[in-house]
Amino acid sequence: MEFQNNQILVEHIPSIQTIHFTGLKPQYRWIDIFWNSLFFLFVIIIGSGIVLQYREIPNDLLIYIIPTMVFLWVLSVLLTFKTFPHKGYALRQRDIIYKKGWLFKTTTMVPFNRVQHCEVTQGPMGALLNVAKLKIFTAGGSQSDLTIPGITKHRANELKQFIIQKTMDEEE
Amino acid sequence: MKKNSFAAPTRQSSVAILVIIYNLYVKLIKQFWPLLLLGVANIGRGGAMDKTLFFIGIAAVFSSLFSLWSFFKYYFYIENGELVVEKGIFQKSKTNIPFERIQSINFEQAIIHRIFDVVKLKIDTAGSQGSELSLHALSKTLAKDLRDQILKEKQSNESAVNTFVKDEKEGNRLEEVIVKIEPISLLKIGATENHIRSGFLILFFGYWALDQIRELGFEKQVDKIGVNWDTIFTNVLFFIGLALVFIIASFIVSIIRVFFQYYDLKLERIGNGFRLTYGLFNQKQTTAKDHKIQTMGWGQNWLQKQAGLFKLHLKQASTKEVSTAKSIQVPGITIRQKNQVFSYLLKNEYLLLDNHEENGVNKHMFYYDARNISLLFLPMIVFLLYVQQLVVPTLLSLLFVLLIISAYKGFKKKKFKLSKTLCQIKGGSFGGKEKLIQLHKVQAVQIKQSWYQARRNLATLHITTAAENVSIPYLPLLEAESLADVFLYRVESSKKPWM
Repeated sequence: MEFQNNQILVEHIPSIQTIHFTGLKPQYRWIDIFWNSLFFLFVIIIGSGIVLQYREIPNDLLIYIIPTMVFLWVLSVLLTFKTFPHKGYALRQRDIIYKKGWLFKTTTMVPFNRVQHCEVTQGPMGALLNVAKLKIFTAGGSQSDLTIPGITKHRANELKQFIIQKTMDEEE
Repeated sequence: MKKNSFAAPTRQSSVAILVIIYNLYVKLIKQFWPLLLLGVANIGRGGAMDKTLFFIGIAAVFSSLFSLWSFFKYYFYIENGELVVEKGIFQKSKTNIPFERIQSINFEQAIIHRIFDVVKLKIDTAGSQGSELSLHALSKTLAKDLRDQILKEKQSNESAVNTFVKDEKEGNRLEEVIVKIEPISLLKIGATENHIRSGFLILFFGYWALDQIRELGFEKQVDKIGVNWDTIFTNVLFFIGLALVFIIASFIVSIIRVFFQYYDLKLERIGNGFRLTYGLFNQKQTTAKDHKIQTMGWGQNWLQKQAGLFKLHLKQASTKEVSTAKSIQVPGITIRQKNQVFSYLLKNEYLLLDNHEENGVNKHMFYYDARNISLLFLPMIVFLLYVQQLVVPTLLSLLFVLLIISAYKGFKKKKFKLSKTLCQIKGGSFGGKEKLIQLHKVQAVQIKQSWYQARRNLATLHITTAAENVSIPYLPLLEAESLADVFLYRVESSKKPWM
């Protein structure tokens, strides 16, 4: 093969601005909502228990605690719906991209030739709603590890296969 | 003298007993010193303290006897191309280390070794952490014989694999001693250290010590020392005096700390890597091969800037737990020495950076910090003036002005440069710092946008490597995106090994 070493102009480097992102499965929201609700229910029950148990704490306090918690609960549910459309992933020839966040936006880009390993996980709620999670690990530690939740298990395994194939190609 | 062939089981030098006991006592004293101090101060007064001291004494005697016994049960010898170590009193163990797995044999000398003119022999093997072996004390000739013996047999075993032996030889050749710090320069380094850290150390330690003493039943004495804080804050002269004493104490603590930590520091170029040796009581050694180094940087605080000294960091790929052990940190080096290290690591790439344009960041980096600092301080200052306080609000105002200036300087000094192979990020406020990343060592890129940034169409670019994360804050979104594109392109088109 002829040796090539052409100059690359910055304008010709593929740009991430033109990427079309794929959204997550809508049923994924219910997993978020389920765990959040479980958390708030837990806090309300334990909190009420403590207040009722100890005589020194006036029971009137519950009038403030419970509505506050319920308010935060509703807020978390609304936030789940609000942030959902901002989540999405995109696959390119040489990297994978995941974006998330409504008020605080984050876009993470991991080149395939830096992927250490991939993992597909599915919890009981995920099995019920037919969604799984794809985790991609790099040597860069937790900040650069990429997790794509809310995709079907089939899709997750497909992606995993694709990425592993790509990393193997790179090594050759 | 006939050379020892190490076929027969050999013991360490008898100094090893002392070394082991010394190590043990250092460990014990490090853990129990407040108790010991109190105990010694109260000797003969009877009570709980005397008993505690008595038990500590008993434990010390027993552990010394135990060390003595285990010394006589510790043998090493060479058998069939393996180094064998037998040890243990109740639980006997036998460790075989095949020569081909031995990576390096190092001699180390802590202060106790120097007194008795012996060395500690450290044998590193290929494999995970903790697979290395050390012999606590050997006479110098014995240690050299053992090393020669191992290297000789290792080479004859591997003569077929010529390249490896050559590699090993070249890999350990001393090229240059880049930095060697004399005790006198240590004083200079100590004097320019971050004294605020030492100050906090004193505060924290003083508080903790008082608490300990109080807990041991001396409440009344402690409370007598307890000063009347009201008088401190109203009496300006007294306050200044106290601050002066505190500053001088911080200064002295810094110098002592640096002296112990960095005593006899040496940075050497060994083959295609660096070796750093330092420490007075426990000498430490870190090695880093060029290809393992992920990020490099240097910095100086305001004092170091006046003295023309830098602190250099070379960070290696590692998990969080061992990151400090694996990063090379050299205090008190000059510009020339720094450039020497970088030219070893990056060849001419570092010089080529000069041909590239330096870019700044958006002014909102300063506005955002200034807004938050003001929101935090101004209401507090106004309120305190309103309730007719004087000293505290004056101090707070000074701090406020200082923080605003520091935020402004931090923004002004935030600069970055990008060449074909390197990314340089500058920063700092009253001092200065600089980080260098080889583009092919980047692991992932992230663009983050806070609410504040999104409204102004700005973003922060995070660059992850296997050693640390660096960021370029407050870039126009378009610029951040095209920078991310360039980083990804350089990583994805690179075939160079990154680790």
